Amino acid sequence: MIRAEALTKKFGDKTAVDGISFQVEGGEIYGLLGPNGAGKTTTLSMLSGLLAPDAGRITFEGVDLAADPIRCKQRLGVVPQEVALYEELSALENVRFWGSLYGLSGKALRAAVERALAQVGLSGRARDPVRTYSGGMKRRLNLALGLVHEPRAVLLDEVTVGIDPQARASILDVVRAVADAGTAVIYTTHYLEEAERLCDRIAIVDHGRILAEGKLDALKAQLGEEETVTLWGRFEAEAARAALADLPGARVLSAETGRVALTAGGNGAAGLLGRIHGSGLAIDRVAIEPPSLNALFLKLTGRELRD
Amino acid sequence: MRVLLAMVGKDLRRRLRAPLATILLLLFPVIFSGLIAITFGGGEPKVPKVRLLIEDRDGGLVAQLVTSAFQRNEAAQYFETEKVENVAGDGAALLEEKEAAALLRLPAGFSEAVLAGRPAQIELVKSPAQSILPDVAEQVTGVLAEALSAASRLLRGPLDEIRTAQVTPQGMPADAQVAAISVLVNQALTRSKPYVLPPVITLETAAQAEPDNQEKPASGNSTSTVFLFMLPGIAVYSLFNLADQGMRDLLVEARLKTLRRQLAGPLTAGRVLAGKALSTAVLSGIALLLLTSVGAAVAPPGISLAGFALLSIAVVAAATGFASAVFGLARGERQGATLASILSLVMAFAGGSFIPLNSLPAALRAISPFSLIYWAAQGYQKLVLEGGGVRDVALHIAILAGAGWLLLALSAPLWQRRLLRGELA
Repeated sequence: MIRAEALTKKFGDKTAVDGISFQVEGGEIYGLLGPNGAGKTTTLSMLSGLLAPDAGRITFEGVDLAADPIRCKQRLGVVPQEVALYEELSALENVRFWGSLYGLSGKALRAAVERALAQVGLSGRARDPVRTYSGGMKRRLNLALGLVHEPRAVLLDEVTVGIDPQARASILDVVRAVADAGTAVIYTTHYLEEAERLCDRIAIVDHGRILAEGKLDALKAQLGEEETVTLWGRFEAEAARAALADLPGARVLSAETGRVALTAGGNGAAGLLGRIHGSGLAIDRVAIEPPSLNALFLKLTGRELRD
Repeated sequence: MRVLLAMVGKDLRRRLRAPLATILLLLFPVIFSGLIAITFGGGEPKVPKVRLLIEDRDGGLVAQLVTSAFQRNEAAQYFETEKVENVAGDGAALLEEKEAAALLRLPAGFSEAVLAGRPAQIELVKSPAQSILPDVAEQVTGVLAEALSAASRLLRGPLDEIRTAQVTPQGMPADAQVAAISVLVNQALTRSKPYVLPPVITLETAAQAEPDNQEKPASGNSTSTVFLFMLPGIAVYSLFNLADQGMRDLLVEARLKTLRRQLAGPLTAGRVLAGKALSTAVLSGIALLLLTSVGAAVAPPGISLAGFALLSIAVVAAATGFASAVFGLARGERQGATLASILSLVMAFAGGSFIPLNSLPAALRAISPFSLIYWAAQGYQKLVLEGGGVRDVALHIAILAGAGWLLLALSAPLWQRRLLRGELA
């Protein structure tokens, strides 16, 4: 359905996307998980035809985006990170306008508008001006605008930023339903829980590269059964590294002043803690985390996803 | 085309939902022109009258002539006279009491002195409580004194005859004496003819050289004429501002991220630009219709509809092209708005929107033909005030439409480049 091959994009000296490749099939939710600035939005901008890649190729159902952008975009739905709505207009007018842009008219347009509004649960407030909507409602409408023309593939860029848990859950349900109907979904987020709950496959992205890709279980398996131990206290980074370097089975993942993260190794976190106590580090707080995407990200990048 | 219409419909709905800026822009020319018309176009001059007190201590013929001079029809428009007697002192107290501008005192023996050709003096006491009106009285009295002095010298002979005339028992001079005086007056006027009459003849000749007023369309009273004179220029200025808002909306949409969303859809950058330009043109056209309906309420009948329609289309094209060029060149929304405001204002001033062209400094008049607003306003004035037709405004239409399309054509690649580079998305 969607195929990205060695996509590269530079802004001056900075390489925002560095040779990213992936393929997404219909009915699948493909998550691009990474911190802010990882290159997720730039990748989506190239996929939606807003940015031309410096290198690489994008195809939709075998059609080259660069060669026939209008045909490709016609099959594509884009939901941007920003709430891009006309606040003076009603939800109905907003959805109708975007449906018109995709060539819908007459009865087909009316039916599509009704379906899209119902899909996001806004039928009851369809005629109210958008400026009277809550943040969550605007996010839902934002999603409806990308779905009104029933696209074959949808690009969703951080669509749940800044909304309450209930609205987030509602949006995730809609995305799941869209995928279940056979639509290919590319979903960018920096929320681990969302990626874990929603995505069929996940690509962990940082500095414009895919560091790991696969189903959630496969990704977690890369960590084995290792738990991750994070220590906070009064110490320097180098002192912590030196003190923990000789612990059997353990490996320091990241260290900075006042905070160090390490894998527990085969002995488990409980065995490790006793030895840490004897290392001489002034520890204030300890966290033990089971194998997770965050732990994998930490292992792959040396920093946490939320940094 | 359906997509373009959807874009136009969306933009018009947005204007309708937040109409304040558009309403203000539409009201501005009507209110401004109305105020100018009310201020300068009233039917009768509202000049305050000079209240003049006259103390005639002479009672003779010349004193009566002076008094009646201020009461004649034309003078009566500007002077309100009141005869007073036995004024005490310099008359200041009386001036204050009567709220008069001045007191004209004609001394005893004044008529006799004028008729005899002797030096005579009249006294004018000005009120210190008023500023301009006493000066008016002084100027007019000065002119009157000059006229009397000149008449006294010119009609020296007849005046001597009048002064020494034998009066009949009925109190009138004898017919023979009247005839003699008439002959003397005629001779005096004949001698002075080369100096006195030519200006009068010149004046009449100049009056005859004026075009036949009957060929001008009836244009109602002077208030509506001034309104119609001012409205086109200011309306076109407002129209240009409205068009600026229309094209600026492309940058507003870039800020709102809706432009990015449109470009992610199945639209080329050119189509998005065309949609916004069409929206701008339609908005300007509607505004022009509304302003025209206001103007039509006071406009004379028989205006060339074809000329008006063609000129209006050309004006809309010019305003759209101008706005597209300005905002296409501007780096951002604020810079574009500032640039557009300055350029529109300069074009409006140079085009005579605020000050009639013949009152502009020569330097500003020299750049008038470079102002699109000049051609628009002049075109409308030709149609509305001078009863012109399509031929009379053909040049105006050609210049405005040509400039509009040229500016659109030049600015389109600028917009395209920015849209394709992602600068606006």
